[in-house]
Amino acid sequence: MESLENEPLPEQVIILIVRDQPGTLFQISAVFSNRGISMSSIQLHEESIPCNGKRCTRLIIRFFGEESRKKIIIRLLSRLDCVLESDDSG
Amino acid sequence: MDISIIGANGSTGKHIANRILLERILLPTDRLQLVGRAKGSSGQALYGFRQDLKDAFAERCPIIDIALHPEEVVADIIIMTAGSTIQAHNNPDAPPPSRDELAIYNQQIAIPYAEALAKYGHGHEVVIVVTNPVELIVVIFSQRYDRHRVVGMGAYQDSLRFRREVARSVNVSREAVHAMVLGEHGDGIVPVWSGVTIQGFSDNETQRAIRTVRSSIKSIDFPQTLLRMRNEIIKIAQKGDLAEAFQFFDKLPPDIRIMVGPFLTLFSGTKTDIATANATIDFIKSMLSGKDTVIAAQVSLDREFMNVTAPIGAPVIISPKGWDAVYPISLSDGEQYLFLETARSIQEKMQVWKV
Repeated sequence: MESLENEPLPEQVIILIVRDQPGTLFQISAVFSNRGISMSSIQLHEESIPCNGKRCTRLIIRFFGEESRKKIIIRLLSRLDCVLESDDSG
Repeated sequence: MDISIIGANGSTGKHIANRILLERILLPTDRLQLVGRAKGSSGQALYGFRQDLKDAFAERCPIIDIALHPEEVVADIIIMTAGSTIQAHNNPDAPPPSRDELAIYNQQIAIPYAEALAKYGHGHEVVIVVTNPVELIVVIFSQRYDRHRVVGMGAYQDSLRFRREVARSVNVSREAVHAMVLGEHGDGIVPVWSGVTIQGFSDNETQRAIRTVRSSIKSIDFPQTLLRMRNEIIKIAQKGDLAEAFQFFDKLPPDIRIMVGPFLTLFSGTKTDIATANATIDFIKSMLSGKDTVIAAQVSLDREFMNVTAPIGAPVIISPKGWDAVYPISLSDGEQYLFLETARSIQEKMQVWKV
């Protein structure tokens, strides 16, 4: 009988420095939702980070998916104007 | 979904971007990436073009991103339109445009994008090639990326033209005609008369209609007939009377009109960018419909159809993943001969162009 059990997906972590402005979270979450990915957690640091004179903040996003998915998600996020830096936690 | 247009500042690229927004192919949360070159004016002009699109489409506008380097290209669908086009040749004293020069020039533009895709892509992108020579650009991407995700527009556009021209000659709508053009997007086209079906016509009626309108009884005579009729229309056009040339054009057989139509359009000083953009949008819609669809398109074959190994227009099944397989259709003896001759000719060109 064919097994329906799959290997669990690894947890991925993406750290972003984003502009603290209306619409930022909406645009970022759309990148995930349009690709059928559910974010398991979003951690938004309350303290603002000065970044070229603009108010920015650090965003930590966790989700379950393959490494290749993280790679493309980071590339897509980095194309958004509201994302100033993107990195993964390895 | 995200779509990237390489060469977005060109006239075809602009028309494609406009149609994508006009037909709401992208959601407001999706991203349209306009790709130009950092050097030269195209990169600067894209910022203005983006503003124009935002003004036109306002709240329905997706995120519009500008990329000026090949490694910045990231999208689910990448439309390659960058490169020079064959210019109008309306000066009788000037030599005709060199296809080799065009090939060498556009090859140098395409290679960095293909290499960047191979290096940074995640393997799920689909590349739609509009740039000519389409066979050359298809092979450049296919050599560096999954060839099943690289599709050239030429044969698809030729097939749309063929359907329209047959429909015009038989006096039905284009939707009623099913027809394909295989082979090269150029002089080596292979109109597949043996596969033409017309809605509402019996097999016998279809055969009678085809015999009346096609340029030659045998497919094998098609290249010579095309050459002869094109030379006739060139003579008229070179006299400067484009109205007369188009009148003559209207009387040509439909398989000849496929080739002569774009040629005459360029000759008049106009581009074929609107029809090309329309075909590209039509193609994207078919691909994204979620249904397996059979179309003619330039793909890099590896013996899947008539044992040919070359980038060539072939009948393929497309899906959101690109082209899954070749659709087995039977050709007449003459069509098979033309297809194999075209394949041989393309292989020779690839050697000349050092691909």
